[in-house]
Amino acid sequence: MEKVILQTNQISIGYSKKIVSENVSIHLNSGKLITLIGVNGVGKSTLLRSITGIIPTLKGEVLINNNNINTLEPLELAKQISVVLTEKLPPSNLTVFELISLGRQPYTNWLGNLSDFDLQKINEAIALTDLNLLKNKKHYQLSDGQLQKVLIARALAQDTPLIILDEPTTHLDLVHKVAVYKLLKKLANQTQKCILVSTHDMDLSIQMSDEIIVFTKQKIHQNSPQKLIEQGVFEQLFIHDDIYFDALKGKFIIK
Amino acid sequence: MLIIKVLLFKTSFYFCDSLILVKMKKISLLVLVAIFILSCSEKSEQKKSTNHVANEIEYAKNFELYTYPNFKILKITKPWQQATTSLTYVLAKNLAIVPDSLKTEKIIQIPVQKTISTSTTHIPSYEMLGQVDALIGFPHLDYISSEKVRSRINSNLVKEVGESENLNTEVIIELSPDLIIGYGMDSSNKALDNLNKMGIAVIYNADWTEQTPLGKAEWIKFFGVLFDKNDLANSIFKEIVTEYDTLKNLAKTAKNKPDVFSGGLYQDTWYAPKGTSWGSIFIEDAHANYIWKNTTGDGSIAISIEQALNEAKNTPIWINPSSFESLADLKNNSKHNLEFDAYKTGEIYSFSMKKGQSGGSIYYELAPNRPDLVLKDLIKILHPELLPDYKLYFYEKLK
Amino acid sequence: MTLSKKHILLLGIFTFALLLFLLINLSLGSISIPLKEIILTLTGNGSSKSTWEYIVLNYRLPKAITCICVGIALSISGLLMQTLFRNPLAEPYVLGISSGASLGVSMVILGAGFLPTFIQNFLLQPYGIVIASSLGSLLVLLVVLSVAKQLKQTMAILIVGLMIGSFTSAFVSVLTYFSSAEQIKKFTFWSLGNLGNLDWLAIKILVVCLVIGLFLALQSIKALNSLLLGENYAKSLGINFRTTRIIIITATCILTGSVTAFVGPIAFIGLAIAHITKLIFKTSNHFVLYLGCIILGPSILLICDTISQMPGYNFVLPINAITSILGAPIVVWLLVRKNNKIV
Repeated sequence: MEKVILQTNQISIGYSKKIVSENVSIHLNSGKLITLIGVNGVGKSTLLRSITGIIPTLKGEVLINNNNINTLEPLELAKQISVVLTEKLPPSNLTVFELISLGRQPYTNWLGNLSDFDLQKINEAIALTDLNLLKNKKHYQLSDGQLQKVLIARALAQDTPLIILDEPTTHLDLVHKVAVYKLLKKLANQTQKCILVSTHDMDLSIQMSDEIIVFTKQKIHQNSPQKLIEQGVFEQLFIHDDIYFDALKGKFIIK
Repeated sequence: MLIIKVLLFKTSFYFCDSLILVKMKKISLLVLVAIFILSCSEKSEQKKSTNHVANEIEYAKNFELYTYPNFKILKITKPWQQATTSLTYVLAKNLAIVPDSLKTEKIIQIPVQKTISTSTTHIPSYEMLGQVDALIGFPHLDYISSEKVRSRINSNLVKEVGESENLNTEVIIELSPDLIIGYGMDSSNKALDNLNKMGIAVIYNADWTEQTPLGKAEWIKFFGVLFDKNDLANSIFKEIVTEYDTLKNLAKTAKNKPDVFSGGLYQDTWYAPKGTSWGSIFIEDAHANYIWKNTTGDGSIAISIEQALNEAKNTPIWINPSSFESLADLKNNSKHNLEFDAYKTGEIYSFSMKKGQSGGSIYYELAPNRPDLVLKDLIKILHPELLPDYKLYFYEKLK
Repeated sequence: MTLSKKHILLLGIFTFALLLFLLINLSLGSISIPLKEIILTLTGNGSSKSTWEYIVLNYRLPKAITCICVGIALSISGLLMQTLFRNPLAEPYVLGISSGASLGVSMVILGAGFLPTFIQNFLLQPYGIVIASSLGSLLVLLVVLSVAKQLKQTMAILIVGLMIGSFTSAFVSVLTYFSSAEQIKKFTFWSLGNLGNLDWLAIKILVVCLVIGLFLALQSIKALNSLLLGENYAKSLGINFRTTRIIIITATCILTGSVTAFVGPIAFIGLAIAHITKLIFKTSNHFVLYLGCIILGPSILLICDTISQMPGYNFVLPINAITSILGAPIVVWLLVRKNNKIV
């Protein structure tokens, strides 16, 4: 049974000096892999920051499990949303296991001790991401692709209904890109979490996601890839002489 | 002479190289001996021309005074602690009579009438020679204790000229002194060098480098030369020597030789003067035993509180407890001070409490010139039975 | 995060080493006292020589306890600062605490002539320097924090601290220019640090500050661990960043400020011990590092103090000379190693 985890009703997002977008309504449901696409500078980061509570909305509410996110304590919010970011980790001696276990912080006691339940969740995350062989290695010994999996496992261990990934595949090769999307789709399915991925991978997005949020200057579209193709949304995405969208093939072609 | 020497050397080597080595070696050896004898006599010739006058200074080690018919030579042999060369000054009443060979040295016309001094240790000499009027400037006037000079200061006849490490060039130039009597800690003395370059005569006084009581006092003769009052300086010094020696012999008649320690704590390190320092020699001359008399060199010893307690706890008399002026001061400084027997019996003596009108230390000003008074004080403290009617001059018991 | 068996073993070994170094520190000094006498004195049985008893109980013992307190306080502060600013060269004095202390103490020792008389008399009290140092540290701290509040980045606090340090340095230089040789010597000696000068009341105050500081530091362990992922991840884990920063800075101030007020600035311990601990325990888990610093900090400072006493020789060295000889090579080695991901 699908559940709405996060929704926004006609929110305006932006900064004190500038409105980035108005009348934004999206809904993020459980069990779905949703991708967020749009041209550079259209406001994807602003949207993500607004729905995670990092910046306030200019108008309207963001509701998570029917609670306004502004009313939630940081700790409560941490139990609802987890993130996977592109930034490089500061140098440290963390092992893979320790890194993943940091995801349990919202649930552990004041000293950060792991209970049996915490350990169970961590091991589940390791199993789901297939990291058992690597769990005692230092995080800096891993390849980019492996590290990405570890960060996803950490978000999994945080056990939130919504996981947001900000451009998780920018620095990965195609094989690894596909692996990540397949993993995310499997996770959405198996754990019934909602996974929101902000990305520029058009083709993979169309092929792999359950829903796509297309962020254009004029309007926000949210639907399954098929419906969006039928509605001709992608034609309006890139107005550029060298690119056009082939509805039959379901991909962008260079002229 | 030099050319002959070189030729002789060359010929001796030539002989050594040839095949008739042994015989030639003998000859070259003779040649070398001849050269040696020749150069020796050359030196004695030079000596004869200038060294028929003897050094008039007996006790002080760091300056020499030579009196010639028309001029005097002051040679400061140790102007500062690490000095490698000496400074020579020619002093004459009539500059025209100074021989040409000496014109390369620093020449000062005497008697000087307007002087700037830079150390309170100079002041007693001014006073004893009746020349306080010759002092027109001094750095940090508050340090001076002499009453005669203080009254001149209060009448604005002696001007403030900055700090001794940082003299005020402008004020000094305006005062236009005949001579600046300065001192240096090392060979770099920018302010004094600059003033000298601008045409003001500078002479370095090194009384502070002397390590013996009579040696320091003999520097009154340095001022005697400058003010052309040599006879007065000599007679004053002679009196002091006589008095000092008399006291020293008196001290030897004492029945006991008490132990004495000195110095004080800063944080947890104990600083005390070394055994060869000027202050420590007085203690020996007063027929007492300074427990750290075997330490040598300049400066102070710095030992840990542990060692100080271990060695001085039972020592009966404490002379010169750093700059502390009362038993309360010592208590505030550190509770370790209370452990010394000398603290418990109150046998602590210091000169720090005797100050001039403006807070200057009387001891540091006058004691170098009056070692006899210092010795008398110490004998009174250590062997009171030898001087029943004498009242302490510099020292006081800590209250 | 939890302690592994290896960590527990290491902690055990180093605790034993700490006790050993403590005994060595009490046994060695300028004068040699037989070990038997020392143990007799410590166990309350007195000693054959009253001077020995006095020295052990009234000089060496308070000094050793001071060493332990200072070692703990500075190494924990260093750990906190290095993680908060994510900079391996950060140390307890980056917030300007030692500059402030220098400022306060220089006013007492060098600038006493410029202050109004009633303040002069107040500061001449035995605790005058302690109070002046604390006030100075507090003043500089307030300036640093109020300027930093306007700046969003944590990194900015580092720079502000450094700049204020330069300012106080200049101020002290001016005071030095007008001071006598005696005053300058006194001030220089204060800035060389001194562990052997505290009475029992001072030690009690120091211990209280230590306990408060350690308690606060413990509260921030969880947040420090999450900071290992960076500020953004830490926020997403529910860490209230504002509160954490305040707790960490307050803990550092109490720990470092109290130590500096009583013993003067002690070089390099804050910087070096955190790194040595990370090297030995090979972990970034702040709970392990916390315990490690508490044991390694005092151990190393006790060794430094024992060396500074120069047992067998007739002189002693200032503690900062020894800690710098230890610390400087470590800093250089750190810079060389920076390419490596281990920090």
